[in-house]
Parts: sequence; structure tokens; C-alpha cells
Amino acid sequence: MTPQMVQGDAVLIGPPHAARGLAPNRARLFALRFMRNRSAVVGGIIFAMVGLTAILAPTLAPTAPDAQDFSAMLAPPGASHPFGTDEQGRDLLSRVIYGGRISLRIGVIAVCIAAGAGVLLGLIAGYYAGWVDSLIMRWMDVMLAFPSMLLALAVVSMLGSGITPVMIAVGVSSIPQFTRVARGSVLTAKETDYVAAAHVVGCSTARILGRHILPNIFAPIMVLITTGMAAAIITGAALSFLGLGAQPPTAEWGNMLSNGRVYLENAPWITVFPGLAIMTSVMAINLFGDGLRDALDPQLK
Amino acid sequence: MGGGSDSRWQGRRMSRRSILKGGLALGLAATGLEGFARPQHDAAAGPAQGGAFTASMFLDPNNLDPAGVTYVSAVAVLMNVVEPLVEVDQAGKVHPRLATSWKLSPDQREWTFTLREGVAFHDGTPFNADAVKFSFDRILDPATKSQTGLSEIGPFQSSTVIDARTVKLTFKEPYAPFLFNASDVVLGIVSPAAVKKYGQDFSQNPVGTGPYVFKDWVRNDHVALVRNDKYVTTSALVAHKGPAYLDQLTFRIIPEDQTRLDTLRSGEADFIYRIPAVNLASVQGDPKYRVFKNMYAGDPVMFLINRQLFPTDDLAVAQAMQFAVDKTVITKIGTANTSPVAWGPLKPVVWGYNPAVEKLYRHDPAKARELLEAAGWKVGPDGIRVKGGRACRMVCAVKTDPVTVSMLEAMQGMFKSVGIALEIQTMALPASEELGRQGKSNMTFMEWRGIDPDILTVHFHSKNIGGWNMGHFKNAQVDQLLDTARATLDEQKRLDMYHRVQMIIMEQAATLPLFNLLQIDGAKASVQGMRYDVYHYYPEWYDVREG
Amino acid sequence: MGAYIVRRLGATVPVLFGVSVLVFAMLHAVPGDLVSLIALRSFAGLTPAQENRIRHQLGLDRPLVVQYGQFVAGALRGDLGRSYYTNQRVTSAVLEQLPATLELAGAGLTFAVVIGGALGLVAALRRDTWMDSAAMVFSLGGLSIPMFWSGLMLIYLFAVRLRWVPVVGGTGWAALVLPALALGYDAAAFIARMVRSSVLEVLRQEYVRIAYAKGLSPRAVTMRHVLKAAMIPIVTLVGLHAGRLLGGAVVVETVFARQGIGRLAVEAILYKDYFLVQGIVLLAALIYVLLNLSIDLSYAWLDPRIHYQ
Repeated sequence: MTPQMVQGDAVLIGPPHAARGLAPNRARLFALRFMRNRSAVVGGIIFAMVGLTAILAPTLAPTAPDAQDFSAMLAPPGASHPFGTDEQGRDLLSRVIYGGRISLRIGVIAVCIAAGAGVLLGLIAGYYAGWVDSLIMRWMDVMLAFPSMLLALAVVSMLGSGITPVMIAVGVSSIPQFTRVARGSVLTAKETDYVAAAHVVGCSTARILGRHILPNIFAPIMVLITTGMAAAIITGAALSFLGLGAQPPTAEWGNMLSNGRVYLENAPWITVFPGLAIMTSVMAINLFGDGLRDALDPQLK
Repeated sequence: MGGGSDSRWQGRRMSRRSILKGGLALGLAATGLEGFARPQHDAAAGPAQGGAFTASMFLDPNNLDPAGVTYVSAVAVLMNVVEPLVEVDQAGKVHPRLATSWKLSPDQREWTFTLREGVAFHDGTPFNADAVKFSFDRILDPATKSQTGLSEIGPFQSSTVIDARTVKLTFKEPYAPFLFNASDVVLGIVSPAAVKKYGQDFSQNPVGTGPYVFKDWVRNDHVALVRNDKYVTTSALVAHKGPAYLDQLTFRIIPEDQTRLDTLRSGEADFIYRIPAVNLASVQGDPKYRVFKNMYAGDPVMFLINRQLFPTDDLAVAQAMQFAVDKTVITKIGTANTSPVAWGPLKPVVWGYNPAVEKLYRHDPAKARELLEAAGWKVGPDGIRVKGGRACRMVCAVKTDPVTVSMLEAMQGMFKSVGIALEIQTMALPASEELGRQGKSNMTFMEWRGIDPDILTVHFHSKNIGGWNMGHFKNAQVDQLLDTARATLDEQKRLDMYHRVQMIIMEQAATLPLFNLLQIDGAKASVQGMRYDVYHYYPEWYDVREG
Repeated sequence: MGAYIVRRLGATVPVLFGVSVLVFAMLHAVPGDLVSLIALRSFAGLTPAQENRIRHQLGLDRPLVVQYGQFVAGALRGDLGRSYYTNQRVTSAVLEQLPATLELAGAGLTFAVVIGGALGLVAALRRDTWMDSAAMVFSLGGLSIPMFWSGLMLIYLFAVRLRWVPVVGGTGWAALVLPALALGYDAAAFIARMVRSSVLEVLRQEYVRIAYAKGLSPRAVTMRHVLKAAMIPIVTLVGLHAGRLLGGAVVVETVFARQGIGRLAVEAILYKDYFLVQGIVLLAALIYVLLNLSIDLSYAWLDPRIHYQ
């Protein structure tokens, strides 16, 4: 659609550079470059901590996420409840910790759906070209013609509310980005000498795709996965915020925020902490992703 | 539609009600309530005209054709644009409005109305018998897509113009509630010329005879009315004569509670419908504002319990739910303690309320466990009770509204503590109601406005299964009592029957009443002349002015 | 160039066809029959005969292909049916809400372009200084803070606590400030990043170095080449962000209680207001496709290096 390096909702810097592969001899160089990027490392560490907290939630959280205490409704942050309580007297710290499980799961699974389907379609389109390519890419154009939020809303309205529909909705709505990037990378890779050589020596299609093209699109796809995950967490939370995602009493960040709106004046902490949690996680992923991109493509730093 | 999911207590319109022979004894708990509005006859009040008022409304009116009304927000607007034939006062007495007098035929099937002279519609069309005939006949026309109007005219058959000032309405059978329903703006008289002119678009261009003229409506934003300078006063219950005081009246549509309240505080609004209870304290003590609290008649806020769907088909489970719930907590979450706890299927302000229902249940989790244990429900490994190999798990489909959901979450915890698992499924209001109709939800949120105990028919008569009897309650005795009571004119006999119905409903635990919602509105302290209509409990803006 | 325009327009047709099929199919795939939804709004319920009559009135008893044909024929005439809930024409319901959303999107985009563009430019020209870092931190925030949360926090701070601006959406510039900030922040963040890297790339280009070598002042170089380089990502992003802004409007209009397409869309979907959903989605897609078409065409003017094979 455009000759620029913007793919759907995600920003990717320069296909000609990004298509550069991650050949084994460059892996060490990449690791070195990444480790030198302090903010990226910090982002990675924070994200790892968020992930770990979510996994260890039952151990870390002071209470169960749905444990009610009607004697401590809307309690402000304090010694017994560091993040305060909500209108049911539930400990918000515990809910924020448990909420991470849902939000991160939405992010990870949505990206898996998008990357899995998107890359496959992109590989097929890029490799076979011709009418297959046209068909797939026109279809992607159609999908891109819908604002992703609207597409996600429509998917949710078809599948009903819940975490699974939200994962599918967010995943499906980001397929085109992956398809475009994968296809673009395949097209670039096809031009290279070694793919041409592989053809000449009679390598099978699968072998060419697997051995020569897939490694070359690894780098841009990795970058897209990080930005995609950040976007998926936000979109997932947004759908829950609109009441279409996680069902009560499940603690989910977007859900908690939405419920807190009623008490914005009397108990702003209900709204503040889940929002901070989303921001921290997404920011960490973005920092990590930036570092990844810079390390893969140092020229653009 | 219009943001229904955001408006907490939808305020359902009721379908049918019957009326007593000599008017209705309304047990309205009006007295003692702060700011309860009656016409204010201020001696000093001159014919002060002018000013533009803004009222913040909780819900988009959705459809402004009186006959096509679906949500009460439309009624709150239309009350000022369109006028009905008659009007009801606080005591339940019927007064003239567009009709000056009326009489019922000996066979009770024909109502003859004598109409007011010198009244014209906003578009200049004269008000006469033809307009009345037109307005009633069009309700029967499927093209009008009338729902509420259709249910309010009941067995209405046809209308006849006798002369320009006289019209006769004929019913298939005697229909006592009619005169009372004729006071509802839903059966208000509209301009035939305007309906013909706008066609389908009449639902966005209502034309009546009322004190305000419809100006414009931008969906989800505002409805604007301007003063009808040629207005002829028709009501006997108002404080002045001639045109209304306000030049313009704008209803801003703001479903979000907090935001709506902020419009009052910032001065953007002169009046707001429904102050969010959680924030009432911040407005109540402030001399800058006046608070209007009305205990309107109807259902309490309750959840109908499906008595035909597992596991609530088991009486022990349904009764255990009554004992398990701490209604004070629910009331605190739902209304910030502004409303009293409810124990029966009717609000105490409804004539015919049976106070005996209050003694059936109390908050007693131990009793709930005892009931379940006795009925053979044994606690399973996960704390949820099991009987005959099936776990005591129930579902509640509910509209996506934070406060309603929050109340359910609290109940979820209370049920869990006695071994009942509740799954909450949030969705759009129509979808949740569809599941209720189909009998696929163990609990269905319900709230209804109505002043006659006959509203029990709507939710508890088996003929309404698949309709508003979303608990699928089927009890031959209740059916028979409700049918007989509706046709009984002896007040005491009728009362006894409704008392028995309420007891049976609660003994059978067909509903879980939570609280008797108080409607709380707010205005700037300077606003004068507020008067609420009895039928819907919304302000009549005719007498209102800046003090 | 002319041939390119024709071809580009031609490529839009299948997309629009696909969009119409998808919109049509999407709503027929929604579980829960439309008529049963209508039936539950009727107090007495509907008899099967009445349901069939409504089904017939709405044309739901005809073959899908016929229904699709009617849908497209109607759409071409601007007739997308009526909302069953309000009885309002879908086209007028949508057009009525459109100005409010365009106003919001316009304000958000203006904020994004001005702030994002300026920050990106400064960050690139003052690369690796504190200004660069500050701009990138701002940008990181925009990419990481969800709109619904920034919206709520803005309301809490400026409307609830400080009472500087009214909360309620609608008319007037004051009421537009917070929603525009909430909506525009993430676009501003994207633009800042894109402008920065685009300008950096230009600064490395041969012709800029030559310009310096020719003795042109840095200021002149900036004006001539760099600003033009900054324009391309901005124009691209305006196109891509049109969809994002519409998606954002869904959230922002809900948070700020503004009227608009986004809120209408959420409600229409929640209430399964069949024809209204069709109308909104179709319109959104149409706007998006046409906007990107015009943007693609405008590259010709902005970047002569792009060839149209």
C-alpha cells in the first residue's frame, strides 16, 4: 500500500535493513549490542519480573483475588492493603498481581495467533507470488480496511464476551501486519544470491523456505512480536474496559479499571493501580522491543 | 438502545395495571421525603419568563414517538411536548387534561371523551376528535411499531368521531385500567398532519400540544425543546396559566453517572436526573443544590430466580439464597445506603404491599447451609455442594454495568460461603433479557415502574413465561389469584388476594429482592417550581423557573 | 502518474467489494436471530406469525445472495435501512454522529502532528542529547499508556480535582481538550518516533551532506530537506492512524461521554442493531480506504523518488 516502513499499527524501521538476517556468526554480535543497550536490558528485566509475578501470583499475593472483606470496603492504600481495597473489600494488590496473569496471557496468545497465521500467509504469498499472492494480499487489504479496534469488536460480538474471544479478536485483527512483514521479507530474501543458488541446486520449496527464508525474516518478526504483544495487552484491556472481556470476579486490569470508574471521586486508587500495571508492563515490552530492533539493526539507532 | 447498559436502573415501563373503581389509593411514601415536589404557589412569583435550562439525562430517549416509546427517558422528554387526555394526582384522582369530561358506557366497553376547545398542535393543526381518533388508531397500526402503547390500550378495538369535540373509544371487553393509562403520555395525542408529513421520521420529530415544542435531537448528545408561546393550560395541577417560563429546555444525554453529576457541579446543568448514590453525600449538604428523593412505586431492585432451571428448581437452593445474601452489603454497594432493604416482590409504597413478607427471611448463612444440607446437598471437595452427582452451580446473565455486576460479585462470595457457585456472564441488556426469556439464566435482574399491584402479573403469571416472567415461575394458585384480583373491584378482597400472592411468591423464593430504590435527582438551589408526575416520577417542566 | 491513479483506484474496487462481503457476512454470522432480539423488546412477546412478518419486512427470509444484492444496491443509493431501535435512518444516524468524531479526531491529530512532529524533529537534530532522551521518553509513554487510563487520569486530575475543564463532552473547545489529549497522545508518540528516524536517515543521505559541503547553512538544510523528510512519515501516519483514531474514539468517547461514531459503534454492536452496525463499519472502512488512497497519491508530490511501476 505504501512504500514506507509502517506496517499496520506497528512501527518497523526500514524493510531493506530489517530484512537483514540473523546468521549464526552474527548472533554473538547481536547479544553484545543488546546487552549494551541499558534501557532495553532494564525493560527486559522488568518484563521478566512482571511475568514472574504473574506466574507466582498464588505465592506472592497477600490474599486470593476474589476474597471479599465487607468490613473493609473502599479502604484507601495503607499498611494492611498497600494498594487499598475495592467496593467489595478485595485487596487491590492481590487483584493487580493476579490480573497480570490474564493480561499477559491475552498478549501472548493473541500474538501467537497473529504471528502464526500471519507469517504462514505471508510466506505463502511471498514465495508463490502470482494469484496466490494477490488473493492473500487483497484479503489483507480488506482486513486492514477495518480499524483494528472495530474488527476486534466485531469478532467479540460474534463470539460473545470472555477472555478467549478477546484473544482471538486481538489476534485476528493483527494478522495482516505479520503477513505484510513476512511477505516483504520473503520478497527481499528471494532476490538474494543464496536463495537463487538454492533454487539452482534444486532444493525443495519447503527446504528453501525453512532453511533460507525463515531465518531471514526472524528478526523483523521478533520486533513485530514485541510491539504486537504490547498492543495486544492494551487492546485486550480496552475490550475488557468496554465490558467485553474477562468476566467477574476474574481480576483483569481493564476490567478493574472499568469498575473503578464509578468510584473515581471517592476511591481513585481502584483506577490508578491497574492502570500503572498496564503501563509498566507495556513500557517494559516496548523498551525491550526497541533494544531488540536496535541490536538487530544498529544503523538506525 | 441508547446506552442502556450504562444506565443502571432502567426503569422498565409496566405493561398493564388495573384501577379501582373510585380512583387509586396510592400508598406513596411522599411525606417526610426531602424536597418532595408539589406545585409551589409562591405569592411573589411574577410572570417571570425567560432563561434556558439544561437538564442532564441518564439515557438517550431512543424513540420520541409517544406510541413508539421504549425507554423512560423518552417519557421524561415527551411529558413536556405531548399531552394525554387525562391526568392523575398524588391521591390517584383523575383530572381533565386534553379531555374535559368522560363517561363509561353501561356495558363498560365504550369510553366517550369530551375534548377541550381552543387547543392547537405546535404545527398549527387544530386539536379535535379526529386527532384523538388518529392517535389511538395508529397505535394498532403495525407500522407504528408500538409496544408500550399497544400494551397500555389493552383490548382497544376502534374509535369513532361523534363530532369535532367528542370521540368514542371502543374496547373488546371491559378494561378498567384504561382511564389511568390514558393519563400516560404514551397514549398522548399527536398531530395527524405531522405524522403524515414525517412518516417514519416522526420518531425524531414529535409534535404535540404541550408547553414545549420539540426543536432538535442529536442522538446521545441532547434533545432541545423551546417554549410553546401559544400554549393553553390544560392541567388543573399546575401553579400558573399560559406559556411555560423557560425559553428553552435542553436535555443533555449523559449516561455516565460521575460525568452527569459533574455537569451539576460545574454549573453546566440546572438539573440532573439520577444522582449517583456513591456521590450523594458530596451534594446533599451543600446549600448550592437541592436534592429530590422520590420513592417511586413498582418493583424493588431484584433478581428473579428461575424455579425451573437446575439448581434453582430446588426450593431449598432458592430459599438458601435468600438466607445467604446480606442485603445491607448489597444495598451499600448498589445505593451507598441511600435506599432501604427489600423483602418482597413489591415496594412498600405500592398499594397492596404485604408487610408479612419481611418476616420470611433474614441474613443467616447458617440457616442457608442447614436448608441445603437437609435437602441432600453435600459439600464437595471444592467447597461447592453436590447432589445426585451434580454440583450446585448457577448462572446469571446480566447487563454490563459496573454497579450491578459488583452487587452480583458480592452475592457470588456470599453464595460461595454456603456452597453455591454463581457464574456471572455480562452482556448487552437485550442479550441478557433474551437468556432470561429463554429460561437459561438462574437469576435475572429486574426493576419495574408501576403503581398497581397488578404488576405482579408481569413477572409471576405463567402466561408471561417467555415474556417478562423471566424466572419462568409457574404456580397455578398464583395465576388464578392474579387473574381474579385483576377483575375484582372489591378493594378488601382484592387486597387479600395480592397479599396471598406475595406470600406465595416469597415462600417459593421466586425472586430475590434487594432494595427499594429511591430515585434521587438534583437541581441548583435556585430552581423553583419542580413538580413530579405520579405516573413516572419525572419532573414536569411547565412551572419551573429560576428563582 | 495518471495511469497510476487509475490503477490505484482500480485496486480499491476489490477491497471495497471484500469489505462489503465481510460486513454482510459478519452480521449474518452473529449468533441469535435478529427477530428474536426484536421480539424480546415487545412486552407481550411476538407470535410466530408476527415474527415471520417482521422477518419478511426486513427481507431476512430471502436467499443470502439476494439479501447481499439488496444490501449493496441500497448502500449505493445511500440507503442502509433503519435502526430498529430508534427507527432512524442508518445513514442519517451515522452522519449525525460523524462531525463529533471528526472534530475529536481532528483535534487529536492536530495535537499529535504538532507535538509529535516537533519532538521528533528536535530529537533527531539534537540526537543523543537530553532533548532526544526526553522526547523518546514522552514517546515511550504514548506507546505504553492505554487511552482509557490516560483519559480517566486526565478527568480525575483536571476535571474532578482541579476543575479546570468540564468533564462532559460535546460542544466548545474546553470540552475538547482532554479527549483530544487522550486520543492524540499515542499518535503523537508514533509520529515523534517516525519523524526522528526519518530525519536521521535523511541526515545521512548523500544529498544532505552535499548540501552541507556546498556551504548551505544548517538551517537552510533543515528547511529544505529535513522538513520534507519529516512530512512523509506524518502523512503516512495520518492515513494509518485514521483507523487507529477511530478505534481510539471508541474508547475515548466512552470515557469522556462524548457523542460520536465510536460510541455509536459500541452500542450498536452491544445491542446488535443490525443495520446500524453495517452502516458504521461500512462507513469506517470507506473513510479509511479512501483516505489511504489519497495519501498514496500524495506521495507523488512529497517524494519524487517513489516510482510507479
